[in-house]
Amino acid sequence: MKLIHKLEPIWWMLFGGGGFVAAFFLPGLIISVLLLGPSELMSTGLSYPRAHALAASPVGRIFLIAVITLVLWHCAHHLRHFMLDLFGHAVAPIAAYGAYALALAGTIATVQAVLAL
Amino acid sequence: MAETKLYKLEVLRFRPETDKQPVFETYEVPCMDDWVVLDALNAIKDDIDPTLSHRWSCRMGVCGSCGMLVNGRPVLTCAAFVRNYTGTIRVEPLSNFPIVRDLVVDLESFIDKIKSVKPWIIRKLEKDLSEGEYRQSPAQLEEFKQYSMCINCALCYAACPVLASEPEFLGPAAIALAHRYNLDSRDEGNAERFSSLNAGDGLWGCSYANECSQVCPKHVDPAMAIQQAKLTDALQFVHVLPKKSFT
Amino acid sequence: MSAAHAKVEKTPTAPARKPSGFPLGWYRYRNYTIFAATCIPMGVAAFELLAGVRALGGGEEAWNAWLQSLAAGPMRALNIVCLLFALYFAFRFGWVGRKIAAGRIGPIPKPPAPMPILGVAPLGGFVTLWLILFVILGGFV
Repeated sequence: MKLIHKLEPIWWMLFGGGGFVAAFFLPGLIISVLLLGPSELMSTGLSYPRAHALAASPVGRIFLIAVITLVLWHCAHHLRHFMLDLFGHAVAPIAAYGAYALALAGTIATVQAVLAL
Repeated sequence: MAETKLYKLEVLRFRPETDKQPVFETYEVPCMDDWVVLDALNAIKDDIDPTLSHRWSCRMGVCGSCGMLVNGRPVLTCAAFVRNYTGTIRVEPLSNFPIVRDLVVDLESFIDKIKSVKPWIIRKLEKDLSEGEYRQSPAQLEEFKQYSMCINCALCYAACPVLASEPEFLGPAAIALAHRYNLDSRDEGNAERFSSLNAGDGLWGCSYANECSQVCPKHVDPAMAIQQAKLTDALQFVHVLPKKSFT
Repeated sequence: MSAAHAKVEKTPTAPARKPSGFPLGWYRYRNYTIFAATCIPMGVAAFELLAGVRALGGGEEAWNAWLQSLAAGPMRALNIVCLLFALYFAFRFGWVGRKIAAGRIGPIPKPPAPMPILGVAPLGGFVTLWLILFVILGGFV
């Protein structure tokens, strides 16, 4: 836990940054892609050539990496504190290492996937 | 004698010599219309059960010693009018603190945390008396004045859900006080406080329930102090801000 | 060291009690707990988007298959839950964030205003951004 505690300001900044990104973009992405994605409404907008062009553009790549990774780090930090609220001090190390490991794995996978576009 | 009305008070009792765990005891107390819960407790002690133990002193929201849970919410009992409650009034000792006896809690951890942030003005070099006082403009005073209104009543510690699971968390009042001195133009102790704010859970345990600010009888807004302290601390951590950036 | 400073034996105490009504018993704690719980559906949504990016990298067929998988009933239900939590998050974050954004504040402020009033103002800005995103992704311009 020493290392975790030493880096607390970093976790918090990732949490705050992710929070802003999530509030700015996440509901919009959930509505436009995850909910309306398969519908007729988005059939041209999210058709493969257009979606690929949008995502593979420099702005698109930065946007995707920023949104997905920051939201993951945000959620990891929040999850860590949520676990403490639910299960108490005893789970502190598992909650911290588990949550941040998940976010780190997600970050690597995201960067990989975006670079492979 | 003015008219009285009968109120039912459910008080949590803990007598370490006989009770294994705290138990509720019910009292029927004739209260006058302008009585506060503290008056009712004093009436119990005076007329009904002299063994009841509770802390109080000033009766006017300044000393900060009569904080208890009334119907589950942390309040100063000297400011909680009985007429504002309907039905039975439940009085319990502050949550998140071990109970010494009845409504008296063990505040040692609270005092230790307050002390750990060095809540006094730290100077690298004390000025000689002949050089006069440390001057401060009204604008500089305004920077931190709000956070200096704390009366150490510990209501914020009783309301904080983080302290329930992380007893090592520094807690609202201590962090607000540290922030108050860090913001003081006369102070140079920011670097020293930085290390206690960052020890273990320190400042970072806060997950922003905001209850500390909601229950604070002095409107100190510790939650705001914690967030600002976090931001300052984080920027200092990555060297965007120097350790002493407030003068 | 004088006798007065000698270590005093601690009196026996009853253990500390949890705040009354935490985590779900009282509405303000409940609001906080729901806010904390938003991390799970929002994390799920982020991982779903990650799966989408991977599908996009896998070619047209993989992309279309991924889009179609979103149309399934359970996925739809899951995503609606994610949306509700993400909306609640944005709502409360707008209220929470003001205290960080306020920086070093001077005058003694009024007691914190109730959440709905302060949460709504930033939400207006958020909604505008979500709409812009919708227009761009839908190719409506």
